[in-house]
Amino acid sequence: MQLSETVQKLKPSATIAAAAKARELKNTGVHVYEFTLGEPDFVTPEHICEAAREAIAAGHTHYTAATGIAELKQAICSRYLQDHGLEYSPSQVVVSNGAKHSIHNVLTALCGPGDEVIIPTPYWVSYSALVELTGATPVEVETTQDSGFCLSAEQFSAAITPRTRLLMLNNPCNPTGGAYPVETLEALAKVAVERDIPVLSDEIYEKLIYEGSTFRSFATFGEEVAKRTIIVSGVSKAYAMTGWRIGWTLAPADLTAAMSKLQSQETSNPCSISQYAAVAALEGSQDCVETMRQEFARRREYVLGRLRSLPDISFAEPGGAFYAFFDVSRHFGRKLGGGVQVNDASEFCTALLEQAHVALVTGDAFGAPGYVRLSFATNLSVLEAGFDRLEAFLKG
Amino acid sequence: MSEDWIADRMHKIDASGIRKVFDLAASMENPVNLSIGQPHFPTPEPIQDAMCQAIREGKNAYSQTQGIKPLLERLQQQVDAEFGHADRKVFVSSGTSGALMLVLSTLVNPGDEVICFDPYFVMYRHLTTLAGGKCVMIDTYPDFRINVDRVRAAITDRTKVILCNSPANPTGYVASPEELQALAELAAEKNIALVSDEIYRAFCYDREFVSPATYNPETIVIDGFSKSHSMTGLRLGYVHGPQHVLQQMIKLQQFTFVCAPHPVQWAGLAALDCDVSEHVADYRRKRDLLKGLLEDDYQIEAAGGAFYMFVKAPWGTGTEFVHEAIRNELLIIPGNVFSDQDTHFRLSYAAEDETLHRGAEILQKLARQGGPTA
Repeated sequence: MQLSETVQKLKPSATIAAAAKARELKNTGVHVYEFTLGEPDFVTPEHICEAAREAIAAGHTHYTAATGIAELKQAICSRYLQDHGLEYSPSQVVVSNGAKHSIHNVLTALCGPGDEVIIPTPYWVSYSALVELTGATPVEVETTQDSGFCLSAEQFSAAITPRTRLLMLNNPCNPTGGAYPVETLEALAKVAVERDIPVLSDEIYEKLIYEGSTFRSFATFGEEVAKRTIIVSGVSKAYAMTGWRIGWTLAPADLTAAMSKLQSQETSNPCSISQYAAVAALEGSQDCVETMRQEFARRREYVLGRLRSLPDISFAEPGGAFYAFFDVSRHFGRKLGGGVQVNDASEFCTALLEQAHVALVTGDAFGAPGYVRLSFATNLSVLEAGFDRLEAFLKG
Repeated sequence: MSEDWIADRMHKIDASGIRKVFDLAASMENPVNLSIGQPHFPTPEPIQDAMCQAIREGKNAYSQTQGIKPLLERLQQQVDAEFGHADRKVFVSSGTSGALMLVLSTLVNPGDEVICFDPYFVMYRHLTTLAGGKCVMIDTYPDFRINVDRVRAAITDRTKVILCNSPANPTGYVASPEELQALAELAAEKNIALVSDEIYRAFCYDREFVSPATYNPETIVIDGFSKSHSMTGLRLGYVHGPQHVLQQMIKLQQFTFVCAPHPVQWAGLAALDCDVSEHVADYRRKRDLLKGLLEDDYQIEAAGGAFYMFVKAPWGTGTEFVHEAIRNELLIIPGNVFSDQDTHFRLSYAAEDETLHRGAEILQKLARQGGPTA
């Protein structure tokens, strides 16, 4: 059976592949120190679970409106008003099966063959794949460690062609943890307005921001900017709800109408019970978000301390999310743990897993050769043991 | 935002047909609703309990893309026992429609043709369009049988997929083993992917359910829990078929839905031990009841499964007849939502008996009045 060309071209998600490789090793009885996962290691807060159980008992197990229940859309709008001073109406919301699905909706509604989508690298694995699925071409623009892996207005401007359909921003960023300074963001917004380019702003990590950084939603730079902004977010990272599969878009009404049509014909509604859980998450006390953030902040401090003491490693401090992204290229060609020599980040990760039983994700998967990603969504004692092993591995 | 931002493909799909009906319905005060595309009974309690327990136990993080192991293992056993195909593998999808989207995107290249049977389930046309393909419709009126000669005649060198649905939405037609065997063998002979949407398989009243996969081991089967266990809102489906196709679909799921909602997958596991035969028997009874009430005024074809009847309007087009029905407080769906022709309407009998009686009364009156009153 012949398969479609677009789908065959897709490479499997590298983070998931890395996790699978680690799992294989685990299954042979080896204890693996795993830092590959892109999800909080906390359980969903009890009041949210309680709301879900109530929704089940109330019989909310049948179809809902395709783009989400009215209560959830309202709760999303209220939260953006409260947190960001942004006035959205429920007619600008589409609730989907997770933020990836939301991104798929945006790209399918906006992009087609011949179109270009600007993606700053290092980028989240799925971005280019999702763009290619629509037949459009990802245009990668490399950002540097010096800029904290932030795209500059000049870089954005220079990458625009008559075929440019969209800029995809991820702030804070997976895999780099980079959080855009307000001035950088404002300058990008100015270009977006001047050149009339829509911006998909993936803000799924917005609640995980650390000392020294601030978060500004891309839509907050005035009406003209908001008209060109598509916010993508969800409950997964802020409320430890990855398995519930609830994401959303906030977008201009006409684009929202197109995406609504798409979703009603493609998948219909996201899980009804998850929607009620998400209402509780957004409307309930936000203390759980801050408690989790503080725990991530403690781990981040620890991780940065350990990274600083490692030889020949360089990095930009992550301002958000729960990833450390560091350059290991100076160790290529040297004798590492077990006497192994490596030539790139992928080989580095394989050797580290095999020799030291520490699992990281290669930067090759994020368009960043020479780098590796460490997720600190895991507890301090595991981090400590993992870093001890990484340190020994680098010594050879 | 300017209109020219919107990609061309979006202009080729529309949600307007059924929306127009619901817009009209919005003005109804006390509608007799025979339009619902989902079972009317509550989700069985053991399923609700299993989901609550999963939530309580913290099964709230991502699952692996293809689904939780215990559910996969049970489904695989079930599929192995039914088909015994060496290469038939299973994965858990984010709803049945999510699975249809994955399978069409996995198989269809721009310009490819997908053969569907008219009347068809609305999403087939749009999902094919979104994948860049083109639907080629096989007319099945008036009895909705699968005529394999017509399928053979419609095959071109661009034909990539045959999409079949038995029991069918909107007709309720359950295909015979002979029809399905002939279709399955034709697909194999022509090396065309056969996709079988079996979401209504639990609801067969006059003959046993048969899957075309019985006759063609390469058949890709889309199934789920929504209809059989009345959990349409929870979004849990599954797919089985040749491993190389499934691998591609799972990869695409990684990039779009990631996984089916995790606690819901545990609900699905409980659903496998949940007997729904009483509900099926009840729907058979409702089918008989409604058919009996309408027989004098309408000729009812098919209706051997699912919970639909697709009935020819006694006068006017399907749309004209439905408008008159709505004026009389009866909500039904015009056939052109599911078809290239506008001659029929869809009735759902997933409703209380009282509703069926009231609906039948209105339908009798409408047939006998011979045309619109307004």
